[in-house]
Amino acid sequence: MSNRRAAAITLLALAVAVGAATLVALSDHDTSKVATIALAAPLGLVFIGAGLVAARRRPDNRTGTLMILTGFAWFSGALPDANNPLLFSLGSILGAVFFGFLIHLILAFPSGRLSGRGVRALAVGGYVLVAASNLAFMLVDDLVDGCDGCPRNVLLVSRQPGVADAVRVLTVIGAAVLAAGVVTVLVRRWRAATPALRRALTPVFASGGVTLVLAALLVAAQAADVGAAEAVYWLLLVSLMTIPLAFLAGLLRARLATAAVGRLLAETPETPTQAEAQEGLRRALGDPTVELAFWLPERRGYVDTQGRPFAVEENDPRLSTPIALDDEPVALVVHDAALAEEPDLLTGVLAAARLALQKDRLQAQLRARVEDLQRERDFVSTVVNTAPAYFCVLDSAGRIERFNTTLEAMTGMLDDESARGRPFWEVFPVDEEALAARMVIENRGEGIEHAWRAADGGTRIVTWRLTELPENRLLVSGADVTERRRSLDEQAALRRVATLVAEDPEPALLLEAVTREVGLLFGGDTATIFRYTDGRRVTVMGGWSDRGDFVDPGSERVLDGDTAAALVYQTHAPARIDDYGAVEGEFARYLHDQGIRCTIAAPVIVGGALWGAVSASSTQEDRFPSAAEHRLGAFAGLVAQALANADARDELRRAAARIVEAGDAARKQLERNLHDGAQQRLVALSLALRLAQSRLPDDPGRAGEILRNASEELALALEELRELARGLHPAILSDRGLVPALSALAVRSPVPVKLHVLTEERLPESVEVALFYVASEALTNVAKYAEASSTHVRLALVEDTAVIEIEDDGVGGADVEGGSGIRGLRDRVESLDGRLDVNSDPGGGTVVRAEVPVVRAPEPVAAA
Amino acid sequence: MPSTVLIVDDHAGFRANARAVLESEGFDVVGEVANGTDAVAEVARLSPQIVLLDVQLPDADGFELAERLTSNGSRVNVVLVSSRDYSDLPRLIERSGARGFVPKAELSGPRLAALVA
Repeated sequence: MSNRRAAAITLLALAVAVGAATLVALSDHDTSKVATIALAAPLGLVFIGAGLVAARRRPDNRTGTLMILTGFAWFSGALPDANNPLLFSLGSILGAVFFGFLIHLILAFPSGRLSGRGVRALAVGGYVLVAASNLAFMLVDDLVDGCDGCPRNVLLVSRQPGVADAVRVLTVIGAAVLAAGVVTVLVRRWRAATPALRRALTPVFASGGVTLVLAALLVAAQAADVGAAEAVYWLLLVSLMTIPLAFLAGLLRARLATAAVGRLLAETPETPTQAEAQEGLRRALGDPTVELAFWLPERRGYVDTQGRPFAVEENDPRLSTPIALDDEPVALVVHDAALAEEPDLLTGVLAAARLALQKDRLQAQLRARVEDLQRERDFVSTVVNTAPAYFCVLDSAGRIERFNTTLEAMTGMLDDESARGRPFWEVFPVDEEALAARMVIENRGEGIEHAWRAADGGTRIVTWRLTELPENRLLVSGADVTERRRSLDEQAALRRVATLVAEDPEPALLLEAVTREVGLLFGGDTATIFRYTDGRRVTVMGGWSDRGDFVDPGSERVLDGDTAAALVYQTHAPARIDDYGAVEGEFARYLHDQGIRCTIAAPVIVGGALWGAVSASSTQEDRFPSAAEHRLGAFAGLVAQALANADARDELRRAAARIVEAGDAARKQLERNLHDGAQQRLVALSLALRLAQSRLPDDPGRAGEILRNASEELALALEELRELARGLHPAILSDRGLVPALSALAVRSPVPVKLHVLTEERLPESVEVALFYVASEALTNVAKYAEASSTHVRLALVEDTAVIEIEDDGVGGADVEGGSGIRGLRDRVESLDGRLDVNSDPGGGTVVRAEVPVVRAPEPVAAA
Repeated sequence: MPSTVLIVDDHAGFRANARAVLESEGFDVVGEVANGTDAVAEVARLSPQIVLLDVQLPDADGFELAERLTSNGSRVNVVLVSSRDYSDLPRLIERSGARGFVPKAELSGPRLAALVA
């Protein structure tokens, strides 16, 4: 409402008030003019004033307008005091219209609008009742009764006291019904109201309700007794005065919003939780139903104080007011709809909340940034100190400023005054490399590799590089490549040895090469390959020493105490001694006297048996890295392979020689047999024939006798030749196969032979021949040496292996390694990848068993 | 006068046959021995004109034994015999001091007489 309109209304109100007061003052029939003017005139002005204030503060609310109209309606109550009959009559009708406005005002509170059909009907009913009842009454009553000097009722049609009484009764009934309806509405509204709304309703409803009740009483009293009506009328006036005061109280409450904001800011903690902030808002707004929800950007939604997703339900009567910062939602305040009636309070409190949230957010951002920095610092610190890399910061002169814990751990140096300020090259690289490191640093050189001193007294190979830092400082970052370098060296050494092994070197050359590689690789002063001779001694087979003295090939040592050699002998596994000073025994003392402090050794195992060991020793204690003895095992394996190769070659040579020898011996035996047997018989036969020839003329009888003897001799000679031929190669074997040949052997054997044939299958000729000779030789030996009563010969084919077994029940105790016969058989069998075993325990008979794999020629493929 | 012969051979069958053949052809077989040791003793005792000596004796090599028997100016005639054929080793036979070699199957009086003549 504009100032001008407000001023106009104010002037009009004052004019109307003066007019009304004038009417009262000049009235001929008002018996209490002073009281009426004193009480009635201010009441109208108060209504209008309060309405003006309300209309200005709440232009969208009709309550102010209604109050102004109510105030003007009130002044119409002065018309019945007029002496003019027409004004008097009109005023008697309109004098009570004020109550219609009052009912309207109360029913429309606090929005100024009537909501609901029933409520509107009540308001309309109020207007109708106050106007219609007075009009009807004036048509039938002259109004002079009880009023001396009242002007004439111009509306009187006919004085009808009975009808007038009826109108009075009907009016009382209507007023009572109306009052009951209004009270019902108010009670309902009260019961449904939130606490905040109740606080707004309380003064208005209380004063309004009392006023209406008094008004109803007044109507009743006027109908019954005029004296009592007068008293009620004055009470009603007083009561009416409270109505605009109630509205003023509401306005004052709005003014108190600033204080509520102050309380909110003062009582809420500096950094409140969401729940505390919600509680502060509830107190500040006087609304216990307030809910505060925070916006979570990452969820694109609100959450309540418990962190649960928050949404306002559709039928929720409360209002939601969002709080935004920089066009971004921050929070949502859900509050009683009645707080819309206190916009100052609401906006003030929400502005304060907004400020607090903004401050919180700024602080949170600052905290987050500080935490980010802290996290970043922690992260960098963790990375720098746990990375498997060395970091060291140097000043422009190459002096140490600080370094990381990885470098501390490796060197044992602490990042404190003991190292800081000293030149890098005097602290970390080993002495002989310090100058080179200094050159690199002072010339800002490229990445390089140096040995650095380690905490354990050893060295680490470090590849490092320089990075320029601000203020001409330098970052030295290094990677430890010791293990990689060692691994590469080890692989290279293994490759060299393996290549040498493949070249089939002289044993001495191989042993010298292996020990040199081992000694250099593991950092020993000496390395040795020795052989276990009899479990009590070792024989040094070869060695290397960077001193050129200690190793003495061919020398023997006693295998006593817990030396590395003894441990390997006992366990067949790699072993290490880290301090020979603590080891008992003659050999250990000898080593200790030689200056040897520690040794690693690994077994050389050839053909499944422990042959010897490779060892490396040092004059320094704890010289060998952990597990070095196991890595040494790879070299021992190569030595074993070389020895196995040599053994296999030797065995091959020996077998070839034996085969040649066996052939020679067989031929010699054959010649001998021929010479001693058939040849002698044929010689004798030749001489006998000549003798018979010379005797024939003189002594035919003697000649005949000689010829008969000669014939017998010839038969014997033929038999011996057949026997010899069989010995050369059993014809039945090639003609009929192994099984018939074995049967023939059995038949000829002087010791009874039981033949068990589990396969009739023909085998490759070489296999059949080998098995036949095994059986033949074994049966010959049984006949010659076993003193057996029976022999069993078993022939079987087990999968792809032919097996023959000759078992006797003789005296046993045969030479299982065999004389030349068994050795020849073994060579023959092994040349077919088979094996020959002889078991002959004394008194337990003898079992000769041969197994030969059967490799068949591939099946011929049918021509397409 | 028939020549006296000592037969040195470890095969009894040969000794019997040789004695029968030689005696039927006019030789006087004065003794038989089966080894080298006995041969040396019998040569000394019997002083045979001819020693029929097997090349292969259990205890001696015929060539060596021939050399020994014919050394020191002995006039004994040693004829080597064997069932093996040594006729293609004339130098060996000559060096041993033997008069010659006869394969056992070809032994006969005339052959022996031809060698010692």
